Amino acid sequence: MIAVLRNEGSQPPGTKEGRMNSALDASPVRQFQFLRAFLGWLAFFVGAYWLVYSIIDPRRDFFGRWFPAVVTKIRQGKLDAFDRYNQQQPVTGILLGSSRSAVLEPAVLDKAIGGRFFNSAVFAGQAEDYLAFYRVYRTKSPALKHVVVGIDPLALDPRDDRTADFAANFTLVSHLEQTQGSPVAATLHWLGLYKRTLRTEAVAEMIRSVRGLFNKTRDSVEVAPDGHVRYLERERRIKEGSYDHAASIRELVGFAMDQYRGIDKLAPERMKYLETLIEEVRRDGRTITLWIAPLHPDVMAAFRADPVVEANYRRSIGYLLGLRERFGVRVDDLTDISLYGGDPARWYDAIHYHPADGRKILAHMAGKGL
Amino acid sequence: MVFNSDIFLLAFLPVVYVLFWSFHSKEARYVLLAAAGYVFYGWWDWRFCFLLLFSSLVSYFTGIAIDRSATKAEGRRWMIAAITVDLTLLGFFKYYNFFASNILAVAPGTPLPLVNVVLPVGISFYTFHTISYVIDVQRGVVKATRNLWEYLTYVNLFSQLVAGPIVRFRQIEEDLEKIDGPPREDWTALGIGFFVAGMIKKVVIADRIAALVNPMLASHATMGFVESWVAALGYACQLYFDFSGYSDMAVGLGYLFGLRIPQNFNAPYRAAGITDFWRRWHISLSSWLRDYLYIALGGNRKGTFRTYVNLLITMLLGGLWHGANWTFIIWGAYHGALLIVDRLAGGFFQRLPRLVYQLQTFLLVLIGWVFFRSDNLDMALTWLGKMFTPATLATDFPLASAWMIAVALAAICFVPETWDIRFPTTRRWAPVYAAGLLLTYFFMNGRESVFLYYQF
Repeated sequence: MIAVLRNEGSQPPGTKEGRMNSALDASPVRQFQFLRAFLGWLAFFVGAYWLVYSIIDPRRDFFGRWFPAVVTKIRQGKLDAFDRYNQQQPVTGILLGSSRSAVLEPAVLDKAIGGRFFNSAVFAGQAEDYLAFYRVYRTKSPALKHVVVGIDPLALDPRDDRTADFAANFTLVSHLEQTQGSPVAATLHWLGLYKRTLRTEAVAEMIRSVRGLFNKTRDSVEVAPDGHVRYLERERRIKEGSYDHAASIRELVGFAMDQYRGIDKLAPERMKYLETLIEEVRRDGRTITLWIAPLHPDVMAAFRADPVVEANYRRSIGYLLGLRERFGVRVDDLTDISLYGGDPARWYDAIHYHPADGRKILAHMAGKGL
Repeated sequence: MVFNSDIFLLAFLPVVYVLFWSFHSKEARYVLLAAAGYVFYGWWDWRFCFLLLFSSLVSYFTGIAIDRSATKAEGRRWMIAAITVDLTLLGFFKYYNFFASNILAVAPGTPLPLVNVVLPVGISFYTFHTISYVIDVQRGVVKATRNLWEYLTYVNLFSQLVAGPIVRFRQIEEDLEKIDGPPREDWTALGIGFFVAGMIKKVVIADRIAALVNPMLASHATMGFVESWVAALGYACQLYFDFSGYSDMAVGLGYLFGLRIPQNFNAPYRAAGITDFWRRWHISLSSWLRDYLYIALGGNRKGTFRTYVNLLITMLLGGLWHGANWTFIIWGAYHGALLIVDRLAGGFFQRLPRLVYQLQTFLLVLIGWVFFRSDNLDMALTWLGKMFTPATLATDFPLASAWMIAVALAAICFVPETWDIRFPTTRRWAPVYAAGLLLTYFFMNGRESVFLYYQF
C-alpha cells in the first residue's frame, strides 16, 4: 500500500527524534556571524580565482601576457593591425566580412582602384561586426572612401549569439551600442568578462594555457599587415601534398546543409545592423558595395537536392538582393563561382575558397568599379 | 525563475533575504514572502499570478467558512465546493485537451473544441497545497488561519511553490507563527548546506547526465541494446538527482527564512520492495495521496479486494497528476500493480537476500521510468523493446562517455542521503560551504536549466 511515512514531517537532520527548539533562543549578537564568514570566504575564493585567471589570462581579456593564449583574438588583432597600417599611410577602403572574406588580399584593389585597402574580415563575422568595425575605423581614418562587405546569410543567423570574441571586445561592443566613454558600460562589460571566467570551460582553458607554456605549437593562421589572413598550416600541407581537398570539401558540405536547414528566417536585429551600416556609410559620403560570397559547387548541388535547404537559402539571398532596390546599393551575387572564373578543385573546403579565387573575386568586382 | 539562475542567486535571493531580516514584525515578513512568491512565480508569466491568487483566496475563505459552519455537513459542503473549484481549474489547464482529444479520437463528431492553453507552471503543486489545507480544516487537523498574509505566505512560499515539496499547512504552521523571531546561526548553516548539496545534485550531476541522455532519447529509434540500458539508467539517475536536488534546495531556502520544509527523498533507490520505494520517493506526494485519496477511498478498511482497487485508483491518479499523457497513466497503473504484488507476495520477497530484493526493486522502478520519460507510448514500447531484445552486445556507443552515470550510481549506493548528513554549523566550516557553492556556480554559469518537475 501507499507508504506509512516514518520521515514525514520536518525533522531537521541529525535530530530525527524531534523538531528543533524554538527559533527564539538564538543570541542576537551572533545572528549573522556564520553568514558573514561564509560570504567573506566566498569573496576571498572568487578574488583569488580571478587573480590567478587574470595572470594566466588564456583569452587575453585581462592583463596576463606570460602564458600562451588558447584562442585567436582575431577582432583585436584586426583592430591593432589597422592602427599600424593606418599610421603608415591613411587607409581609404576596408573589406568587411566573415572567414570567407578573410583571405582577400587588399593589394588587388589597391592596384586596380588605387588607394589603400585593409581587410578587416573576421572568423564567424556577423552583421554586428561589420557595423562596429566601420564605426571604429571611420573615427580613425577620415580618408576612408570605400566599404566592401562580403556577406552570406549566416551573418544574419538568428540562432547564434554574439561570438565570445566580439562580446569580449569592449571597443567593438561600445561602438556597436554607442556607449563609448560610459564608465557604467565599461564597468558592466568588465564585470561580465569576469563573470564569464567562473565556468568550467574557463578552468579548462587555463589548464590548456599552462600546458601550452611547455608544449609550444606552431601558429595555424597569420594576419598580414594589410589585414588579410594566411592559413599557414593548410598551405604547408598543400605544399607537402598531404592536404586532402576532396575530403575537406565533403566534410563541410554536411555542415553547410545543417546550417542552412535551420535558418528559416533571418535575425531582425542583425538585418537592422546591416541596414544601419548601409545608411551610415552613405550618410558619411562614402561608397558601400555588398557582395554575396560564393559556395562550392558541391554545396550548391546539395542545396538543390533538398527543397527545405534550397528554400531557406533562396529566401535569405532574396533579402540581400532586395537591398539593391530598398537602398539603391550595389549587391553582387557571386554565389556561382563561374561568374568570376573560380577553381573549385583548389578550395580549402566547401565553404572557404583559396586565396587564388579571392584574387579573382576582387578583380571581378574592381572591374566594375566600386 | 529557477534556483540555479543568476537572477535568483545574485538578485532575488539576496534582496529578499536582506529585506526579510530587516523587517521585525510578523506582518511585514508575511507580506514580503507572499509578494516575493508572486515575483518568483510571475517571472515566468505574470498573468498566472492571478490564478494563483484566486486559488489561494478560494481556499482561505473556505477555511474560514468551514470554521464558522454550524454543522459538520455544512463544513463538508464548503470543502467540496472549494475542492471542486480547485480541481476544475487544474482539470481545465492540465487535462481538458487530453481528454477532449481522446474523446474526439473515439467519437469524432463530439462537440469538444480543443483550446490553445498554456499549462501554468506549478499548478499541480499549489492546487495540492490548497486542497490539503481545506481538507485539514474540515477534518479539524488545523484551525483555519484568519491572517490572509500568513496563508498567502504558506501558498506562495517561493522555495516550494513551483515543484514542491508539497508542504501541509500544519507542518509549517508553527514556524510561520514564529516568523518574527531572530535568525539562528545553525539554521543559516543548515540552509546553506542543504542548498549547496542540492546545487551539486542538480548542476554537477543531473545536468551533465541530461546532456548525455537527452540526445540518445531524441533518436531512441536507433538506440541499440546497450544504449537503451544506458539511457534508462541515466534517466533514473538524472530524475533522482534533479528532483531531490531541487527538494534539498527548497529545504535549504526554508531554513534561511526560519521555515522547516519536510524531507522529500530518503535514498529511494536503496528501497527493498515497491512499498518501501514509495516511502522514500517524493515522500510529500506519496503521503498526500495516502492521506487525502487512498484513505478517503476507504484505504484498507473495506476488505482485501477493495484495498487493491483503492491502491490501483490512487496510483493511477498519482500517475495522471504528473501529466496529461497515457504514459503517465500507464506508469501510475504499473506502480499500482506492483504495490498489489508487493502486498500479495511480500512474504516471499522478504526472504530474498536484501541486496537481491533491492536490485529487483530498482529494476522494476527502472522499467517504470521508461514510461515516465517517454513522449508517447510508441517511444516507450520501442525503448523497452530495445532493452529486452539483446540482438547483440556489440555497440558503437562510447561507454566511457557514460562515466558520469557510473559516478551517479556509485553515489546512490554509497553516499548518504542529504538528510542523513550532519551539516557542521560552526564558522570554521564556512569556507567549505563557500567553496562548494562556488564550485557549483562554475557548472551552472551560462547553462541555466529548469528542473524536470517544473513541467508537472
